[in-house]
Amino acid sequence: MNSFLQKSSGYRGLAASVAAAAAVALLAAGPWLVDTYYLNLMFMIGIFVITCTGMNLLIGYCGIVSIGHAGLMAVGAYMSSFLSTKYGMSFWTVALIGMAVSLVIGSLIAIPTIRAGGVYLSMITIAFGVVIHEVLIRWDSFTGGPLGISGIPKPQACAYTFDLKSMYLLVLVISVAALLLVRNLRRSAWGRAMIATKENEIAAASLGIRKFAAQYAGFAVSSVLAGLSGALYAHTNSFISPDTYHFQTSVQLVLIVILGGAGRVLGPVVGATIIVFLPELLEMEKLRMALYGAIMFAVLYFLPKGIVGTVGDFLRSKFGKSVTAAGSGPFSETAASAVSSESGSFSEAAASTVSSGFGLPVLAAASAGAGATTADFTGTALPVHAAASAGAGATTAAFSGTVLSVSAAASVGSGSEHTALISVVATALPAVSAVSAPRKESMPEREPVASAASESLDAANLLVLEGINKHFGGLHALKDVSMAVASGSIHSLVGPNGAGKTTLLNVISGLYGADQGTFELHGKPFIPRSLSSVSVRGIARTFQHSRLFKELSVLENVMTGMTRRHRCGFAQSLLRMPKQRRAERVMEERARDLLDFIGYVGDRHMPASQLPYGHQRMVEIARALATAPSLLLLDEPAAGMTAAEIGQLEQLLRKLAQNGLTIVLIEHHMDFVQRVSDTVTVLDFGRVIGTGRPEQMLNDPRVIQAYLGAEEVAASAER
Amino acid sequence: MSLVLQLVISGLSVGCLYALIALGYSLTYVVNGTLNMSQGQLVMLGGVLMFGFAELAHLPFLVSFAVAALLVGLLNLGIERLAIRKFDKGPNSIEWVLSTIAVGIIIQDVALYFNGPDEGVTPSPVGEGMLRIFGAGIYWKEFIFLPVVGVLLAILILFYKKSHWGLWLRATADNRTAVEIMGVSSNKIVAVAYVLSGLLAGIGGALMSTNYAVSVDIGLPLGLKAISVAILAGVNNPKGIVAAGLLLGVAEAVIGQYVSTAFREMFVYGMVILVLYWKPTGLFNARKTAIKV
Amino acid sequence: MLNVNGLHVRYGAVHALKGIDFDLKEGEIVAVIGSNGAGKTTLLQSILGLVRPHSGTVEFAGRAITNLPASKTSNLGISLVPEGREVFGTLSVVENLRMGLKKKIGSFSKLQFEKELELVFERFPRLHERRSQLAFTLSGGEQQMLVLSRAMISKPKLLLLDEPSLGLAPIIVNEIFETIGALAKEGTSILLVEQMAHKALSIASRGYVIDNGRVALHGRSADLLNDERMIKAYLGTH
Repeated sequence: MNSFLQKSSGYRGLAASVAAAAAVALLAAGPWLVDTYYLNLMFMIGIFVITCTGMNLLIGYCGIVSIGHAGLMAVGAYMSSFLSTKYGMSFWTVALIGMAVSLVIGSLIAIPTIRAGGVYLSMITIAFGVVIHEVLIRWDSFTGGPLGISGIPKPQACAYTFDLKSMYLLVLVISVAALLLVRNLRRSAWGRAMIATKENEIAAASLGIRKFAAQYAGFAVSSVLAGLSGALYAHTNSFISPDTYHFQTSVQLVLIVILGGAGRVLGPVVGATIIVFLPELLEMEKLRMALYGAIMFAVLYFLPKGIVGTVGDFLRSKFGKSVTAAGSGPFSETAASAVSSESGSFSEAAASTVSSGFGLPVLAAASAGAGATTADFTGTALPVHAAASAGAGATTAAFSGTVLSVSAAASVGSGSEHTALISVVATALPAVSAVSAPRKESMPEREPVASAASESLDAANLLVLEGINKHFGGLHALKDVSMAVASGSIHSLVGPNGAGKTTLLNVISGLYGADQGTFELHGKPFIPRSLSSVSVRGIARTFQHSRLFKELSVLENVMTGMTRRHRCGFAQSLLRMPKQRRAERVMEERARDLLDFIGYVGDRHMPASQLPYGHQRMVEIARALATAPSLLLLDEPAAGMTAAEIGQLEQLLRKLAQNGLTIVLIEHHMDFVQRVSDTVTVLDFGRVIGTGRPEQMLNDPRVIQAYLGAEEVAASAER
Repeated sequence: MSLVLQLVISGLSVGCLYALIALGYSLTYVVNGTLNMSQGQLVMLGGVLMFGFAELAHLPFLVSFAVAALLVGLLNLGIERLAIRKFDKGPNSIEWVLSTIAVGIIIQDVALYFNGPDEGVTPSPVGEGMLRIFGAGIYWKEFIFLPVVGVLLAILILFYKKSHWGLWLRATADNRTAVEIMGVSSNKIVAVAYVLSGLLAGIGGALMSTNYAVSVDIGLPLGLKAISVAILAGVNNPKGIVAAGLLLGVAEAVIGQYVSTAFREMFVYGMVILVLYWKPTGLFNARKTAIKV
Repeated sequence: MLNVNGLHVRYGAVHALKGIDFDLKEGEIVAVIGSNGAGKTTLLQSILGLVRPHSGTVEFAGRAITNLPASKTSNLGISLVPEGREVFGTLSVVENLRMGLKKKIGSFSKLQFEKELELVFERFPRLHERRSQLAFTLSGGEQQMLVLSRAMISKPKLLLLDEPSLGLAPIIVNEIFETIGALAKEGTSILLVEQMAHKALSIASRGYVIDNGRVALHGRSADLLNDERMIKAYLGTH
């Protein structure tokens, strides 16, 4: 079924490419099919497509509305026109200079304002557009004042002078290239990072994605494209004046993007076509701007996804039924069966998960001595590929929550040259010797965490908190909280509502700073400064409410977790270079494996928003795991899950812990806590009132009283 | 010396108008986190209507003034209903930015359609006389802005601090959830904020038309200048906005005199960019809101 | 006074309440207890009209109020004291209390408001000391007193209390619960949602234990307090 779907989507992709090629060919024949008047309009559409493709990146992916891009077009146009009329420089040089200056000026606006974000950025871009317009009118010596610059030479190449027809073709080529670049970007880690940041800044930061880089990249591309289209227009029209670049033009550009569909690659094409042809059809002289305003309004009200988005969704709902059908019941039982199988036996599902190798801490084990085929793991069945160490320089390795991959191939010793060594925290799990060799060479999972872990071989605790205090105004939310989380354990935080559990999690994950107290991670001092810096240190978290990126597919959501480690350079992503494609493939495969690991077998290309709530929570865990953490913080993962899903969650947590991941868990389902935890810390009223084994803690009178609130005992707890 | 004084007074009087208009942004922002991006066009409308009523329809000054301000206030009620309420999904949503920009260009284009591109000045009831202070000469019609805006601000503060609706506005700005829990529709309160904000825009425009030529295209730059004031001060900081408005007025007057008028706008927006860079929440801003997860 | 029948509430895919039945008589305190996420807050919100039930009925003083919005139900005399207090932090204590009236001061005599204020200050002298302070400067207990008074100032017939003990020191909790008991004696019916089962049942005449959106157990307080099953239902350690 799955392969059938993949095939059919492959056919569909092929068909789309053929259709696109045909459309481009038809457009390329344009100059010989239509008269100059229409050719001019088509040329203008091309100019708009180039600018708006960049703006689409900005509005649709980054969620930044710039209403000053006409100003950036003006920069490109005037820069190139001035240089070519004054100094006779060739079009190709001045166009490049125009793009560069446009980039510089765009950066000057973007760098300070991205941090302020949102409406501030919009206001600044409007202001920028207005200022540029003023400058164009007043700076006579450079811009020619209100009269503008005329007599701009047409581009030349090898004694050939471009006319409208050839300029049209040039613009067509550039538009197609721009569309392809943006499509490439959308399919890259950069594109996903942009959308993730737009949708949920906090969740994105917790995966180590930095907002500034993503949004600045979007702004830069759009600035360059605006500058380029400005230069192209100027050198085709041979005359420019400030009137072309006022506020209304900027609004028109935004309108093109949202009318076509923000975030849809083909949106600008549709939008520009309509916006260029509509006034011609209506033959309106007056109230043209009012019409644009009304269209913008209508789009916001009735077509919030734009034309391409709406039509696309409609087509998908009409013809994409089979896909959603496959999506029902997307969780397999394999996750559960893998764990419940008897000790020493390796269920196929688990084995394949492990062998596919990645993201997850997988315990690779074999006794160092050759011959032993099965390792003895304290009776629990592990989803592990026991690697019979057939030589291959077997190294004793201990296991920690570091990511590594193990494969059956290791047993043959085939991959011994890249023996991925695993460090073990001996206390949490029985020390095992392991030989492991990742099946793939490109398994760049060498984490700083890994080395840190190996240094702390004897340190029992992964995370130690000492005297943490946190105030919110007059509220003392955390009072001298001290806690030690043993490596490889599941450590639950329980306590009545308002006891400070989530606050503690937020402090550990860097969402807000503690007022007082020290942290140690892997036995080293650690200061949780920000979500993204904490993520870099190998701590991942989920949130109380699902914070999946709804526009991204299930698979892409998981892939966002790998952004920090696997993202290629921006240029590589734009051009889809081989190296970048390889990295993408690796990421995708890992994401698939992770989804396998959590037992998700539904449609991976379904937008995350369509997932049932419980599955969203599971996918969120997979996404957190994709950052290759050594510590996972889960804030009420079972909330909103059905009983069956809670069962699966339980199996998953066990599996993770057995693989050496350390988990800190906030949960209210006490039976669940009792079954799954190694250690329970009870918080009440911002203070730790006890830590111990679950059965011991949950029967502790102080704890029961903290929950039930009878006074004698509560008073004594209060001390 | 007298020139400096003259510049300062003249700067203050235009600055207080900036402050008045900028407060319009603040009023709505604190209540539901939205700004009306067509605020500048509303100011323009106030001015154009004022001119139309007083000069073209020959209505009495005060009547024209009141009708112009009220009409703009009511128009903003409609804007809230159509362009804000549906798209009010918090300060980071882009829909209300776009919808109110759309409103702005519609207002401007429709005003252009009916009014044409001409500009006009409404004769001020205080006449064309000059006021002399320590040798500095300033027109009464310009100076009068200071006391008038002063009184308006006092009324606004009284309304905000003492009246029933003022209390609800403050309460909604503080804790919208709690207002809903008390069984009051916060939409209604947001609408009140928008009417108030529209009134401020209308009054600002009408006042402005008594000393400056108003035409349909003054809206956008005015709106930008006012939002710059709000950003400089911190949008949720009314006192800061008044201070920033006055400061900006004076700075503009001084730069216009000693540097160049063309440079003026660049200076203003350059300042805003710098301030956003160093202190994204505004120069005078203190209050931080805790992140809720 | 209040009758809830077969109440179902869904948030998207989450089925928060799965058929709740209960009733409350005039002047009675009924405790609804259960662990976090059991659906207690949802229950209160759907009675007040902040959340629209999926099915089932709510009847108040003989009148169906199932789909009435909060603006209507609050006029009928239902007040909610929300979880986490929700004071207006930047408003003074007196202003917070004035919010409770919902009405314009003009249409309600100023004198009468003063009288109400005096009652409040009599009950909570600490609020009197802090009458002109901004509410965010108050301690948690004082804030709880403030919201309780804010809800009471409109003289509701039914008071819905959502975890009044949340995050408060035991000694303050005692004070709050004493006040709740006193309010009931004065004739206000009270629906008390609590995590602290013992405390809640010690002042309530009857109790309902909610678990996973269903009534797991209900009965007279004294019986519930001695019921082994309660702790189990409660901590979920079946």
